[in-house]
Amino acid sequence: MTVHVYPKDRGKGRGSAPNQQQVVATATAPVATLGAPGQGWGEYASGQFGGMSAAQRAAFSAFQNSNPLPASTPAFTPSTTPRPTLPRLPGLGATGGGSGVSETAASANNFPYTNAADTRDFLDKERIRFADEDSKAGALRDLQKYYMSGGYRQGGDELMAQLAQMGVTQAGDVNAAYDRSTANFDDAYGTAGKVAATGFDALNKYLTENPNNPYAGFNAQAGVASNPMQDYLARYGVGDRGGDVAAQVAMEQSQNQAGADNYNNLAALLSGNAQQGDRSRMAEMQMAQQLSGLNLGSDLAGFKSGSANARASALAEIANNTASGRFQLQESQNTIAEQLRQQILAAGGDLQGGTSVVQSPRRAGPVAPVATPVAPVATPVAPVATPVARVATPVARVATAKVTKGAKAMGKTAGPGKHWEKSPKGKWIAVANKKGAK
Amino acid sequence: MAFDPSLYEARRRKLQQNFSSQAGTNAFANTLSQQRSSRALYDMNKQFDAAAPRVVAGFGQRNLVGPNVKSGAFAKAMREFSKNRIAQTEDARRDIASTNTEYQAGLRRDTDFYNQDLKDNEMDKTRQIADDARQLLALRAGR
Repeated sequence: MTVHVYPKDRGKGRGSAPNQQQVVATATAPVATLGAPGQGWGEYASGQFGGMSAAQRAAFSAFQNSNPLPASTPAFTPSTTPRPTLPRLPGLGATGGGSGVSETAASANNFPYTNAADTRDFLDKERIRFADEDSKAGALRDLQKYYMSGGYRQGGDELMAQLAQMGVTQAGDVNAAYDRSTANFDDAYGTAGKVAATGFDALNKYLTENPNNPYAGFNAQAGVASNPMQDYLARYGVGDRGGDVAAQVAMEQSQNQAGADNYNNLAALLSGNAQQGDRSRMAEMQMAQQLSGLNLGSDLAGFKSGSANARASALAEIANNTASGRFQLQESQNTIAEQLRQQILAAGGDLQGGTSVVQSPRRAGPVAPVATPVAPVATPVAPVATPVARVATPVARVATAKVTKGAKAMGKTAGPGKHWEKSPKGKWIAVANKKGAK
Repeated sequence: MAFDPSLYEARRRKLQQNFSSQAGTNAFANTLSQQRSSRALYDMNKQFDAAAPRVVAGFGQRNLVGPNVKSGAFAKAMREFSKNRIAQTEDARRDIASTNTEYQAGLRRDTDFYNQDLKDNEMDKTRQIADDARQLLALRAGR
């Protein structure tokens, strides 16, 4: 921590900007950090304690809000580690190494606290208040950033991606199973067709090689009628008067022929019937073979149709499950978004990144950009790059206020190695700077 | 039902046995019938041969036939005798031929039935194969 003491003829007006060349005394205390940018010191810079003019405050604010990093510096990513707390302000009490501004000097300049203990308490309270406000503002800012960047959707989006991938995988499995079943159907159809064809081929061969015509070659022969007494009659000189005997023989021959013809006609009828039966059987076999092929084809089509229907049902179920899962995830994300909106609004923020919460000027910068939720992260930079300026601001502001008020009251400088302080009796006295102070 | 060709082979054997048995029985019966008919015909001709001299002798005792004797009654009687013998002989022959033809026709009819039964058996077997092919397809399809 560094406290600057300026010459007597400097700082005629309130809030004079510090000038390193004109510093006549500086007290430095071993302060590790004085907090990250925007931890509330803008309250002082804003002139709450009457330290700076409007122009000085604007310059100071611009300085604090400026980005000391080059334009090409990568975007700043907020750290998730807890921000450093504002340390106690040394130099204003018994334990500090400050300028030792007297209580008299403070009261003479309308500083509300007339002793170091009250001032320290005041500063501690202010530090706590600023830290609390900054913490709330930071939390709100993080909440708004989380909401606007859609970070809360990340888990759900990943689940949706997994859900979609699961759907694709499951659909692929279903299609693969369908392809396998279809190939199996075709293979089984080929095998069954070969089996059936083997049977019908054998039957065709059997029927062809065994025509059924048992009456083929059946021919009834008519017996030849004769007269066995012809020689006997000739021996006794008996002639065939009137041809009676010959007529008898002819009649018998006729009967023999008629009987044979009847049998032959019957055989021809039976033979034709048998041959017709053979042709009918061959046709029957051909119809059965055709029907067998139709049955196999019909079965194959039915199996394929059933498999296709099963695949369609499975794919529809997968699609339904995926859609249902996406709906539930979307619903959850909507719920989370609504909760975030409620929390942001309850914390005094708006949904565009703005806020009504009191923040230090350093805070106002990072939160403001709305259109690019990610970009604001780049602005709250240089927390370490400007330690002197920030260190000088709060403590030096108090000390300088006392010294300046003392110098103003006396109308002259305290002298080399000295500074003005107000005595307990309310008089301004020149007091030697403490050892080590510049 | 899985394909079992032994069932059809058994049926085929049964058909063959029935046909063979029936055909053998018929053939034996036909043979016996032919023997009886031929014996009857032989006996009948033998009787006619024996009767003819007695007819001539009867006309000779009445001097209606003899050396230098030719009566009209004898000639007429002999022609009637011949016609009667011709008629009875041809009837016997036709009976024998009819019996034999009937047997032949019966054998061919039985053969026809036998062949039809064999083909029915083959048809049934082929249908069973076709049905098994359908079941094979169904099994492969997981139905």
